[in-house]
Amino acid sequence: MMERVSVLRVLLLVIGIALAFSVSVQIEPRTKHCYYEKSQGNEWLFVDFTVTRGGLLDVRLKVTDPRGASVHEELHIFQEHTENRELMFHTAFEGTYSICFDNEMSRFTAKVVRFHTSVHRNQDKTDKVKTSKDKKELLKAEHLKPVEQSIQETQQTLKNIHDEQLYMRTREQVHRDTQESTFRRVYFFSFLESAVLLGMAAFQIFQLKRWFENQPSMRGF
Amino acid sequence: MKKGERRGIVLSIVVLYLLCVVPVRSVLFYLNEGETKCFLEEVPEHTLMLVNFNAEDVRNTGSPLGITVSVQEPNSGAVNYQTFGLVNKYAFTSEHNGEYKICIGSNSSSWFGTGARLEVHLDIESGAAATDYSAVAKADHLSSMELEIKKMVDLAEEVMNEQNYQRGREVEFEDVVFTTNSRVHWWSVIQTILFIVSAVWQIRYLRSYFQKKKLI
Repeated sequence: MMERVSVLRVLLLVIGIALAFSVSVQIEPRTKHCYYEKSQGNEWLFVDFTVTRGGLLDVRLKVTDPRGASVHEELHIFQEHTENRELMFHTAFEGTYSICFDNEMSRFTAKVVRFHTSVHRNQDKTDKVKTSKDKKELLKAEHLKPVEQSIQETQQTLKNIHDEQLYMRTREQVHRDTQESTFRRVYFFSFLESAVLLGMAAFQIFQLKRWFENQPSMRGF
Repeated sequence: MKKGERRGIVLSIVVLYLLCVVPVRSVLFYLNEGETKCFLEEVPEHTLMLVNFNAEDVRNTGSPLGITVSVQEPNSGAVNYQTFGLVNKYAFTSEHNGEYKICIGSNSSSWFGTGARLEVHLDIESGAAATDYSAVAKADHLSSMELEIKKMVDLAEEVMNEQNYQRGREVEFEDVVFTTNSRVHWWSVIQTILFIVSAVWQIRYLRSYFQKKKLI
């Protein structure tokens, strides 16, 4: 039981981190926004992003290395899955890497992109150089008083709860936007349907009238 | 120490350890002269927001530059506009629920364009992460234990604020859903009546037309 709870907590932490630390930007149609990360070379660049509003929820991501060569390019559509797209790149060169979000394929709809970029030395998103010193530090830290330790645990749990809330808020927003779009479509098509049917009825009557009037045997009435 | 307790302690340490190396929400971007970049931040009301920026002129033109920060409120669209030096912090408390638009722009006091390019490191924090606890500790003379408890209370309040916000949004949305439901219902009824009326009109019109033309 204890182990399951622990694993869940760590998992929540990991999921939560991605979204809790992201920044939102609105990208107008026919524009692209670029953000940068500096790397000292031989590190790992993490990019995670999602599109929360705008049309098909699609955006083109382009990651470029300091020499100007493209590291990765993809057009991702978030319509079906609203989970973050998480990518990891090995930075071979030292310098400034650029991460661009491109909305140039859209003519009218702006897109809202939430993203987070970071550079770490290790693949597990830490900067620590793994040595036996770290183990000793871990052991030393166990001398926390039980009260302090329990306060730290509570703080962490609260942070996790808050991160989870932010995640749910984003999902709820996307679903709400879909529903509002559905309502607009229902309104529009109801009116269109009525207009078309009434128009057709009138058209049928007047067309019949014309045919009868065009019959040679009817002329002169 | 029981085995379960020990495992709990080690796990907490690992989790804390992981958290220490997680970065804050920071973005790096470049601003040419007169350019502005905007960021959106959705927060509940009464949340402390901190905008922390550090700009540097990469072309070293030496011209006097400033950073303008403008914050747009969610519903009223009112904009609060301020100018700062290149490295500064700007804090404000959100008065309404909703999405705030925070725009960072470059501002130069010289007449001619100097071709300066600013490299800006920007941090946007909200809630407990935006509070400077060392200042709070000094102001209220709190011991380290009391400070940790205060942090915990602030975090709990943040969770509560978010819940209230969600509840309010759900109520709003419920209204929209029920309104749409009743509108669709009434529209179907009206549409049916319209079609019956139109069918009756068609038949009567045709009948009177044929009677006029002496076909019936």
